[in-house]
Amino acid sequence: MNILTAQGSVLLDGKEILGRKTPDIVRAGVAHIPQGRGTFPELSVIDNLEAGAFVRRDDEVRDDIDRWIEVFPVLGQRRDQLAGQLSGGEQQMLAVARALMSRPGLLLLDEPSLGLAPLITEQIFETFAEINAEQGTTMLVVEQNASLALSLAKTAYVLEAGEVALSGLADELKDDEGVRRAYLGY
Amino acid sequence: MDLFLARLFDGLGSGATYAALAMALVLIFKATTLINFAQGELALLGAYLVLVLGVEQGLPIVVAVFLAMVITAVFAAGLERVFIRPFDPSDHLPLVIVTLGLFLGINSVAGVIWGHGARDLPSMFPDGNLYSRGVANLSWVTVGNVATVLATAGALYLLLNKTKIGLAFRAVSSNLESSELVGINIGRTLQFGWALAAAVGTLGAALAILTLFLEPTVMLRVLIFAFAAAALGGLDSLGGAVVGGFVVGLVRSMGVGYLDFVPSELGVGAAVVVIIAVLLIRPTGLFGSEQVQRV
Repeated sequence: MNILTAQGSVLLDGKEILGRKTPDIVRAGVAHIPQGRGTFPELSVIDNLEAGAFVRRDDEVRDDIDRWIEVFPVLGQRRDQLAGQLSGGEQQMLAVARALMSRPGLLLLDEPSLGLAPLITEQIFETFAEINAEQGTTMLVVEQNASLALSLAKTAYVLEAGEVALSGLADELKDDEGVRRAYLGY
Repeated sequence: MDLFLARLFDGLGSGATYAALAMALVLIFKATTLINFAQGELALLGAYLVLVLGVEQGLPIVVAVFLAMVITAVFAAGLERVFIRPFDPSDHLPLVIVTLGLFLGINSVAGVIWGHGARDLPSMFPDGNLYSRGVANLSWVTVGNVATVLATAGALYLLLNKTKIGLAFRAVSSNLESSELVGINIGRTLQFGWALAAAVGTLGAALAILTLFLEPTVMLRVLIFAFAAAALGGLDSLGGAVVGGFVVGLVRSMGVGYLDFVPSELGVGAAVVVIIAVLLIRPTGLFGSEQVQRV
């Protein structure tokens, strides 16, 4: 989002979104969790979640907050703490919950494992899988941890120097000899 | 004792006006970490509007003040759109120069339109004193000033913490990128901040003029104390601005009163002393949030 120069075309549900303003793209149903998380450090956990629902006009925001606190109980324990005081893993959970508060059709995740302990990373990816299965939210994940990403994804693209080197079903790519040797390291 | 009370009341009364203008400064600083040097002149413009509406047009003074707040808010929103938004919000120096330019511009225009003579505004509070003891008079103006400032601070708190536009304002204050990612229109939210600050500043000027005369340089004297108050309170804390305003008001009245060697003309020095002391001892002020970045 906010790409200064771009060529080609970005379609969302068949509609061109290239060059549109970020808030408009959010209204069209895209939520983005940037690398480095994209929360509001000086706002409380609850306010972060409410801000996530900024584009919504329905009256179920409270229900959704309760729902994501159920999924991420630690956010409930820290509801009145400032987001900037949370640990890295907690901030990542908050960023995910914040993004889901807009009820997106498409969730973009940029390296959600960055800076997180392996155990926390696994936990968060499992939650992604659950949300995807329950809500049907499409997720586009950019991730260096290839084995983890491939174990949960349905479709995968392997990028090499900005070009798509390989693409296909995640299960097939995982078993591909070349991918295994180059990216999974065994 | 009487003299102490007199200085106490004096400090509270003037402190309230510093607090009001400091809140206006803090609103802009919270949103953009920018010190708006034109804040005092926007308030000056508001005070002249009160003069036009309340004296020349003969509207009830409370109505005149309210209308002046609305008009300066709209005017400030326009200024933000034309002079502030075209600039990169993260590059402060050009913006500071722009606000200095606005300061000079508005000040000169006010001088051209309304002249440089001193004018008086009618009071929105009753004449006389609530309490008197010797030389100490707690006037209704002082009580009214303090009450108005506290009520304004309360109203701002509710607006920022209980409304959607308030949430957007706090979100933009916290993180621009995240704000865009949740669909907040940053430009319009900052514009709202400018409008709100101008309205609060106008109210502050209307209070300040009750004890000063209205002329084009009057806000300069208030603004320097408001800067001190905002710095003392922590620049990004509304409650801090109120406390800072009263502390600076008291430091000034007590300082000039008790330190015999300080001529009253140097009262403005109290503001400078407070600013320097804060910057040296506690740069984040009393209630300011420290700039912490987790990596």
